[in-house]
Amino acid sequence: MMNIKKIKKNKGFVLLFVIVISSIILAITLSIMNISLKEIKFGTSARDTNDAFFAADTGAECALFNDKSTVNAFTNPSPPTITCNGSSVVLNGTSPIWNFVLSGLGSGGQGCAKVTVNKSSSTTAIISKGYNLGDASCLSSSTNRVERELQMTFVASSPPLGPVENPCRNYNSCGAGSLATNPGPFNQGYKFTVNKNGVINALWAKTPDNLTHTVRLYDNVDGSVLASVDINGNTGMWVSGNLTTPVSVISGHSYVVAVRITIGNSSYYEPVSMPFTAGNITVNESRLGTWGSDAIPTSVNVTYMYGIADITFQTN
Amino acid sequence: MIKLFKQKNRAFTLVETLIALSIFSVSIIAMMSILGGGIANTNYAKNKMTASYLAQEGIEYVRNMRDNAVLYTGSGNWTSFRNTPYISYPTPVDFIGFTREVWLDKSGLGPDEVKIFSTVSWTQGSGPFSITFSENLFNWVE
Repeated sequence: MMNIKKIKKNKGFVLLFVIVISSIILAITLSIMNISLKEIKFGTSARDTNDAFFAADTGAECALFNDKSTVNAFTNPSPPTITCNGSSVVLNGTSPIWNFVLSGLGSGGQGCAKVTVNKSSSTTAIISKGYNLGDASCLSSSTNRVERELQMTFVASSPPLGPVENPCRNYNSCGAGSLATNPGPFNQGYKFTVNKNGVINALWAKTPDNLTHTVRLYDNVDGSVLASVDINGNTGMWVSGNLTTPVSVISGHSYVVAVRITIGNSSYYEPVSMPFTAGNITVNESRLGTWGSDAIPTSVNVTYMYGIADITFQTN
Repeated sequence: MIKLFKQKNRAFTLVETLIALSIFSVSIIAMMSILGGGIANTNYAKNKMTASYLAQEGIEYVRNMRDNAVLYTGSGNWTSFRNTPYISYPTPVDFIGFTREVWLDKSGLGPDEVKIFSTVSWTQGSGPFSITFSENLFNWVE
């Protein structure tokens, strides 16, 4: 009778035991699954992050390469098509802000990058957004898409200038002339044509006196003064005056350089056969101005060089 | 008395006990295997993180080779870098449990561009795995 009672009392114990153990194990299982799922997501995001970052870096490098002075795709008003990742890339936008899309990046070829190049100021700004997933237009609605953005701003160094060229001084017979006594107060110099783009950063004069003379650089088309500098003469020696702002000159254009002779003073002249070419400059003809005028000299002489003035030219 | 006992517990036969036991053990085994799978997945995630860092380092290594080649004379130039058949440093170098391969691909690319790959492979319980990163490098130095 006792035994039966005991059994009756413990009825359902096994069921309780089973339920408790099952639920404990279930709870442990669920929590471990939760942790491992999150870790897998974390690991996958580490991969996607790198894919997106390397896509962004590839886009930025593509922009940097095509910004090199040898290509200069982004300063060209009508840019050439650029080639990156083995296919030609269309540049959208208008100068000086361009953007383009690179696709097929990454190990699986599923990545893409959107790149913006802004050259509107002296500082170039490149913004490259890389994605681990994206189609040819770099679009995707996938929730697994990751974006990584790289921004770089830099000041492009100007290319080195070419060697110094003084066409008149470098020319054999220019600068060892005879003395013209009392030639009058007017401009004397020469007209020249530039054969390469460059800058004129100094003007020269050789006068027999040691007075102050103004040397001017004129645009041959409209006669405007592009630069002028005062030079203290040093009795028969060449003297230069640096321009505070160098003048950019364009290949194929013509300019005139002239030194102003003051009244009652002598100047040099010498027989020179013109035109002649020295370096990247062609000296077309000597020019003489009108009496008392500082305007561009217009009288032409191709057998004698009067002045004597010169320029310092450097290609860029 | 015995009759009473038997009658009351009529449902609890040996067969029923066995069935109940098997149901319980099957569910426990199922949960245990899921548990084991979860732990294996955690291990996979850990290895994947390690592999992604190693693969990233492989890319960084080649970037450094490129920078040395284009910036310094005496350490080759862009062309010699680009013609490197196979990056010599990780000639599948073994990191403990991981293998890394880094190589260059020039096919279909211009002369100033090269595509680099960095693959890290490892093996764990459920099979071989690998992770690959890739990037394009340019000869962009003036």
